[in-house]
Amino acid sequence: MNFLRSIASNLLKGPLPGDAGGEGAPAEISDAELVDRCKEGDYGAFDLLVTKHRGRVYAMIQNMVKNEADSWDLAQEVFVKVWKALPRFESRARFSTWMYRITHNAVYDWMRKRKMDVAGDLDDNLLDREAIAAGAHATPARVSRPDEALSQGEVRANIENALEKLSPEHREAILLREVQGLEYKEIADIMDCSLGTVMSRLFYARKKLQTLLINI
Amino acid sequence: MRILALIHLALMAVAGAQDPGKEVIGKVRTEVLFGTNGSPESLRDGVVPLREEEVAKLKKVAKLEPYKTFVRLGSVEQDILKGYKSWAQPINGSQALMLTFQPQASIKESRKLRLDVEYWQKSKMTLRWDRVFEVGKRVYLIGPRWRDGNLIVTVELINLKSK
Amino acid sequence: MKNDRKEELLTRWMDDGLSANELKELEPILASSPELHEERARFLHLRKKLCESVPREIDPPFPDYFNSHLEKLVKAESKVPESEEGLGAFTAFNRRWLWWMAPAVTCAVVFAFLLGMKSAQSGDTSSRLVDSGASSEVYSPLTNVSTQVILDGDSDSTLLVVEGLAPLSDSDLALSAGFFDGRHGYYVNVKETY
Repeated sequence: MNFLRSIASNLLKGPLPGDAGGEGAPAEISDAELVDRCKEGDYGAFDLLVTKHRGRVYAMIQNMVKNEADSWDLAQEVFVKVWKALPRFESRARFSTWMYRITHNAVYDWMRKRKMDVAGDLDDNLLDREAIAAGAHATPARVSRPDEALSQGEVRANIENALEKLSPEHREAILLREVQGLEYKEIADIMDCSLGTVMSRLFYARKKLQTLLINI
Repeated sequence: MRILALIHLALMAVAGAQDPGKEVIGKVRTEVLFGTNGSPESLRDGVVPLREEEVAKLKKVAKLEPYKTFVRLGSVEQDILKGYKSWAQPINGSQALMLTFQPQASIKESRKLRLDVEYWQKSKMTLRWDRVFEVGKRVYLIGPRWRDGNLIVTVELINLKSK
Repeated sequence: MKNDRKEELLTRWMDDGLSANELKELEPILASSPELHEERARFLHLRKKLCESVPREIDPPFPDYFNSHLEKLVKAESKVPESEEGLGAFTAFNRRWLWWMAPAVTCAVVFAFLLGMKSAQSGDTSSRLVDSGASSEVYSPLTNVSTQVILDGDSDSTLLVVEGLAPLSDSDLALSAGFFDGRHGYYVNVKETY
């Protein structure tokens, strides 16, 4: 009787060991100093900058894009763009604001391209990642009853749901202000709009969130 | 002179519009085979019985060993484009089994290509396989059950554009 | 008061960001709409919940690999475009499968040898490691799917045995159409999509 003899070693392909880990990313070295070193070609300094800021960049993208796979790629793209644009960065400006601006542009470009993809002549069902790709977020809608105390998870789900119902501009304004804690002027710089527009977006986004999350 | 300038401009426009990602770098063939103890006649038209040596190879797999008959249900050849993901639908009229091919990197030896292959079953990305394919060497994916038997998906790099 | 100004003052009032003069400017509106105070209180509560629910920072999956892969991308960007190993590996990057490793029950990297040996005990010299240079990596986002890669030294082919796939039905294979060979496939622009 024929039978197979095989040796299988289950080696999970894990991440490649990083050269410069996040530990010990010194808080005492300022962004400005790291940027200056980067401009001199010091990739190690850039690696420290990435470690320091990747959490916020990734969170910002993930909260807008709601897809881990795309968020990872976009975050990579953002930092590549940051590296390439560093020679033009004026050190007087705040690095994080500038980096958020690049993030904003990358996210909106991605959103525009997604709209273009769906308009193609291929089967939308096949290419719609939200419908097909495993791991895509699908937060269920829930009608809350006032007499029910919502659990932590339910609160989170409701908030995520509500954020998704905002337009991208309103969602971004809320995330930058309420979550990232940025000043209005910074938000205006990042979103490339006037201060008045930021105020208006925050005003309406807050109103809408309050309506959607009336039971929280 | 003016005409030459216009032609030059036109050529520049064409060159700019050409998409380097559309360069064909090779061709892959994917097939769906079926191992069964039933009669192939019930499978409608178009099925092709496999060669004996291929059957012998498949029967070495413990899971396929019980089957007496192996047939080919469908086959498709697909170009591999440098910057595009190729989708192949080996069974005509059905998107229940699909594969995608995306080149990752060429290998110095000209008959090899590293491909990301995705196996999609009923609109779900089920498996991703990252491996080096060599021209003429077929790989088999022992896939899902169907009726009383097993479907097998094959992938073979048919040719690779020489550098 | 103009609408723009009203919206600005109310927004900053929610954030406790008004000067004494600006507060005086807002007072008539607050007086005519006292429910605004309640709205503000509710919003401050909502903001607290928002901050608790929406993370300010999320480390990307495989953070060490994030950095090392980024370094490769950066270096590739500065290379000459038509490098032999640059075929879509960096600029058309797609490593979505990485974070599907977590839920996958089995991700197998297998170096296997020899199929069809008649005896497990024999010191048969036909046992040999085949094609070790072509290591393959298989990933599935489905937790019930497991895989085993087998290299057949005799026939020089590779078999990927997949367990846990859902069976297919006749209607899935569009049986009524019969099975005929033909050209059926299409292309997706990786760079645009990814």
